[in-house]
Amino acid sequence: MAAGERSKRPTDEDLIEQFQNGDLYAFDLIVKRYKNQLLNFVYRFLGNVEEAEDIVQETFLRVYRNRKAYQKVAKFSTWIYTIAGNLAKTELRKRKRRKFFSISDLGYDDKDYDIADDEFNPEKTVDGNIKEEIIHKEIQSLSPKFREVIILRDVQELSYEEISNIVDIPLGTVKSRVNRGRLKLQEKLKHLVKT
Amino acid sequence: MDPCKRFRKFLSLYIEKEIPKEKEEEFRKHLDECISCQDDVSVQSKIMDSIHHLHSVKTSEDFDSILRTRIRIESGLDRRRLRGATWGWPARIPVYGMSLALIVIAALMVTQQFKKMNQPEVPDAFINTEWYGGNPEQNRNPLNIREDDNTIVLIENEPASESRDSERKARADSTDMTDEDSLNTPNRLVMPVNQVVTY
Repeated sequence: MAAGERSKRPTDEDLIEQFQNGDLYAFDLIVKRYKNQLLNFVYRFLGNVEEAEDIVQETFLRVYRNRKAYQKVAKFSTWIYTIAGNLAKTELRKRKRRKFFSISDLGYDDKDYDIADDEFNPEKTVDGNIKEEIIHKEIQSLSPKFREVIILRDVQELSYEEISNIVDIPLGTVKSRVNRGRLKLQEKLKHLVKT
Repeated sequence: MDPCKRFRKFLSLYIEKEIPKEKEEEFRKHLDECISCQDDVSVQSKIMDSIHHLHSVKTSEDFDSILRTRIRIESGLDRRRLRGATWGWPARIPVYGMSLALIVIAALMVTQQFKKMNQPEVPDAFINTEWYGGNPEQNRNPLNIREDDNTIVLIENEPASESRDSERKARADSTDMTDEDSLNTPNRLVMPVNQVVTY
């Protein structure tokens, strides 16, 4: 894309302003820009692509419904990521409740237990797909507060300032949380990357 | 603090080159000497790179059409809601009024019933007796009952005093009332024992 063309590209803030003034095409452009970014963020957070797609749909519906609530003082990306993140966290809480009830509904003998796979050895050389699957699984195993900042920083490559606005915690806390999250992952994945 | 521990606290920032300048030199020196921390930097960098290169997922083909349909439904609902807002309230007022009136009536009925339940019962035999000499409702008021040798005297709440008895006797003397009639005033009812109903 030429530099001149790029400069003509409307910013997210321009698009939402046009949409606030009734331009539905601007909303289509926002959807086009953000749908895959948000899907990846929510998918890495929830671990399920179908659920993630539902959350992204709901995010755009909220943007549509509450378009007047957006004010130009904040970056649009921060606003939309905050909506998606909150919906994803709500889904996670619902899932926990569902899990709790479904386990308590089962009789003692009906419960399924995860049996550790003794054959699995992370030190073995694994092909790309399996390696990716392991990394994905380990990200999932982080607590939501670490998982969220790791995804925003390492998958979405957002700045620490943006993450601070999205998660609504101070900048210093974001930096230390990202560092601690990465150290936790390092403990779990070091065998995988050393090979 | 252990220099390795201290370094680990800033590991991410060191890799991302976001470490404050005054600390950068200190950590570089430590890193030159510490193999364990060098290892940490290497592993951490590889993990960050792997996470960054995780495959991207894409929305399904019908994502846009589903979203448009949902928005169309939502817009339809919005319009209906707006229309409802113009006539909905006035239309609902009679319904709310009727409901409120029914609640008030029901509350009154319950209160009346409760009052009746708390009043002491007087047997019907007394209410309907020919001696009672007044409004039947009066006889439902609390009574004092005094039993004499061969009569039962029912006296209203306020027992008749001696002076009032003598007044009555004087009134009876001046008219043709019998002695018993003079006693059967609205305040006082005398019944022969054999007419008392057991209850």
